[in-house]
Amino acid sequence: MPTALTRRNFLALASGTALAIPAARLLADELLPPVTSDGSTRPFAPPNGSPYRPVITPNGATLPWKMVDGTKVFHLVAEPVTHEFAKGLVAECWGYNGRVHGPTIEAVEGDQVRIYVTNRLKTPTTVHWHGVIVPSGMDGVGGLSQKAIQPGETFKYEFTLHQHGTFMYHSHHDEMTQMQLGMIGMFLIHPSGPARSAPDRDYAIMLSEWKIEVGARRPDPNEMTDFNVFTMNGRSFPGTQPLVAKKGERVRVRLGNLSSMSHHAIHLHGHDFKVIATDGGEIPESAQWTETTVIVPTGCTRTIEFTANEGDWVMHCHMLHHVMTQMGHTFGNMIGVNTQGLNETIGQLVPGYMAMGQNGMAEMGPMGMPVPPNSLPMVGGVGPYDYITMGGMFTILKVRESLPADGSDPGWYQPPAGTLASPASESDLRRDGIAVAAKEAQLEARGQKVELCAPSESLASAGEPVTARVRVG
Amino acid sequence: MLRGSPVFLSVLLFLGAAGCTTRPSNARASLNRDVASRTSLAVGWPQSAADEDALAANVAHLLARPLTPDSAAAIALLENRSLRATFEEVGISEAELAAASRLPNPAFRASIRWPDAGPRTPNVEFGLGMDMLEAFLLPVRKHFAGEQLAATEQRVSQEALLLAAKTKTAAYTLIARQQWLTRTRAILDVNRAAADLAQRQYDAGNISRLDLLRQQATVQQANLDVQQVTTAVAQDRERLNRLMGLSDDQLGWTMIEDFPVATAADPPIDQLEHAALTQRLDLSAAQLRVKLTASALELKRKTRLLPASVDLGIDTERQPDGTAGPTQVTGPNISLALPVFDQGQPEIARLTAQYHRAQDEYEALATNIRSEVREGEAALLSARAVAASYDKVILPQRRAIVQETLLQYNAMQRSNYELLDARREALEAERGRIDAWRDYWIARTNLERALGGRLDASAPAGIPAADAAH
Repeated sequence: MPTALTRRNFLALASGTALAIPAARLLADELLPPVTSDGSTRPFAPPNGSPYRPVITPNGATLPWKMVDGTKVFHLVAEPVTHEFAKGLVAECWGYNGRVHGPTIEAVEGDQVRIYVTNRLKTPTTVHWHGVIVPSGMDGVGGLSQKAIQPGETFKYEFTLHQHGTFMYHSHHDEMTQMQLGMIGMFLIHPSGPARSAPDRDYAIMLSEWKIEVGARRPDPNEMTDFNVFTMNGRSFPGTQPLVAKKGERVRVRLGNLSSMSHHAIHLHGHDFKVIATDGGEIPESAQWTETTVIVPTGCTRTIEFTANEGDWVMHCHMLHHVMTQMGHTFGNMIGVNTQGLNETIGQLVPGYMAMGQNGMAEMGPMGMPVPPNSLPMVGGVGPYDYITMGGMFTILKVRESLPADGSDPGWYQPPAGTLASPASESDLRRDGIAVAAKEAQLEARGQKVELCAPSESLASAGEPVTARVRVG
Repeated sequence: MLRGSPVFLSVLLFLGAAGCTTRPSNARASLNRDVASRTSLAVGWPQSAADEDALAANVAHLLARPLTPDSAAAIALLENRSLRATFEEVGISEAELAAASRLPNPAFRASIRWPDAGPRTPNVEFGLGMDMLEAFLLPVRKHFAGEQLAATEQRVSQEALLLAAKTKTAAYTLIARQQWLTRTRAILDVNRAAADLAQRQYDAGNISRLDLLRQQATVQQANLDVQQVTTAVAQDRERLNRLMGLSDDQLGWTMIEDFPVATAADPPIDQLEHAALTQRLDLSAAQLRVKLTASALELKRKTRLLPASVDLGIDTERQPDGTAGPTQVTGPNISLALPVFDQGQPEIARLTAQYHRAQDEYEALATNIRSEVREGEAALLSARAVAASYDKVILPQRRAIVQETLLQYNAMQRSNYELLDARREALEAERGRIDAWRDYWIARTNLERALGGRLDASAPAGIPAADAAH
């Protein structure tokens, strides 16, 4: 994964940072670096070195800037964007600079920032800097702080940053529509001066939720309760780019939540972490509490830090509907139903019919049944051992002893011998006296010791059902 | 001066022979021709045992194959006894023509009287007389009776056409009902599948008893629907049996399952009103009545002073006279009513009124026929459009809905029940389609009835689906 600034990308960026660009032209398109093999753009590394380790926005990008007379100048373009949530699901959304969600804005405490916002939507918009203390007229609430930016207009926001932490930005005009169509992004402010304790890896993840009817290709911004697509940085698993770290590294993950209605309980496997900051600021060390799951309410950010343990670790929202993409709720309960003969009787009435759901929904993904186009109902991803039956707000943290230098995906984790759950051998079962058949398991559950041996005559004559090799003591 | 009975008798015979005419077969041939030219069907009016055998063989042959609306109409025209009863009105008119073609019988009079005094020789009187006006007007009366027979024949032919139309309509109704039965049974299957699934879910503990009962109730409703349609099929069959005049071992017939394949487009319909006015038998019968009443009025006007009858006769009497002996007096006599008080005006008035009435009835019928034809055209076009929309739009849509529901079901967005609902709605749309085509064929039959003939004179009304493949 990218370290501070490699020579390669410095050169690439340096040529693109053409300071001769007149202010009227858009900076955004030219300066966005190309997508790399790991599925993300590299962060925008500032020219002339950087006083901070740039944050990585998986599946996302950082908004480039240039210095003009000591002011960091950014350009946000609000526009409609055709966005892919994961391979097979594309929708017409609204975002910034050709991306959903908008590129991460990164700055340093004390910076004077000037952000131009061009509105290419057909409706007015504004941008609010969530958590950032700015003058009232720069706060971006349409109608209150400012007149909304009309279609075609470009407004100028300018303020000095007096704080550091993890913040967000989003439209504050017709918020329900515009935010639910994707107009949100992360706003990170690094501390000035020597960092308190800069992490080895720094990630930013924006959480959101959507309603996309199966077979449709536009989110419904009026949905209030029945969301069915859940995203990290606008992507659903298996479309989420994995986070990577070296074993023992200090990893910081900044979580922002601008879902319209839901909080998210983000659970990380394999680690416990400390919650070190909110969008109000740092939490003093003595007040930091340890979690394996942090609840990120809507409208909040939570920053966590941990030391990376090696392995492939899942990070996901623990609200179980949020790890299913486009799950349906009206299917009816088919668990445990005897479906013998149904395919014939209903198949005669509806050719192509197949009974489903008797054993849950895990079979949906790999089954490959014909479904409406542009949909990923309950689809998961392919894993090293089997199909991973989850989607939605779900990603993978890959921690290795060493990582490929070119930033490419390190592949699947190879567990050392003896650390892989696998079928128990006969010898193990016998040695440990584990009864496998149902009747035997019942006896065992009652606390009776079960031994494998020859059948007892008395058991057989007592009319008890016996297996060949059980003695109950 | 007539003398002697033999001459007299031979004159009578001659007159009798001259007045004797019989033309029984012309009207029957006209009847056959009128009906056949308009429907391609023959009427059944057997006159002999050979005729009856031939007719029975014909009917048996028609019954041996699955019936079509056309073959059902053919059987009706051959076997329906009510229609045959109507045919006999032609026989009655024929008899009236025969009566009008004959001279009235002369009247013979004889009397014998005895005097109360003198010699006991009786007075014997013979007389023979005939209404000569009747004899004189015989050609006129024959002409009228002939026209009357033609009018009756046309009216009876019209009855045959009406029966054919009713039979075809009943046949189309039965075809539609049979197809409804298969769809209604299929809907029952759909409901049974849903109830079976609900039972399985209930057995697994996944749904409540209320949900199970609701699904089972839909099966019972569908069962009732199947029974209702089955009963309606039986009723339709009996209606056809009555129209076709069948009974006993003739009841085992089957009706084809599909409607005929409609021709690509209905033939152009601009000349239909004119065609109806020339073809309609009841209209030509009404026209005849106008002619008849006009002629009667004309005749009466010319002969209004003529008495009702002029009796000419001859009688002879033997009178027992005293002095010269008995004498035979013989001589002609004439008796007629003198137009003193009634000079024919009431009769003229009556005939005038009848003439006007016939005229008005003719015009009313013509207006109504034209309106019926226009109405029939409109009904046919709209029925065709509805049926076509079912085939081209509605049924394909329903099939697409089932397909899309299956995809949504595969994505677990719709339940099994919604999938079965989609299938049920498709079957209900199929029932709508059946009704639409039935209405088209019945509208076509109605229009042909209003026209008094086939819609497309050059082609049969429709090719039975089974034959269309050839």
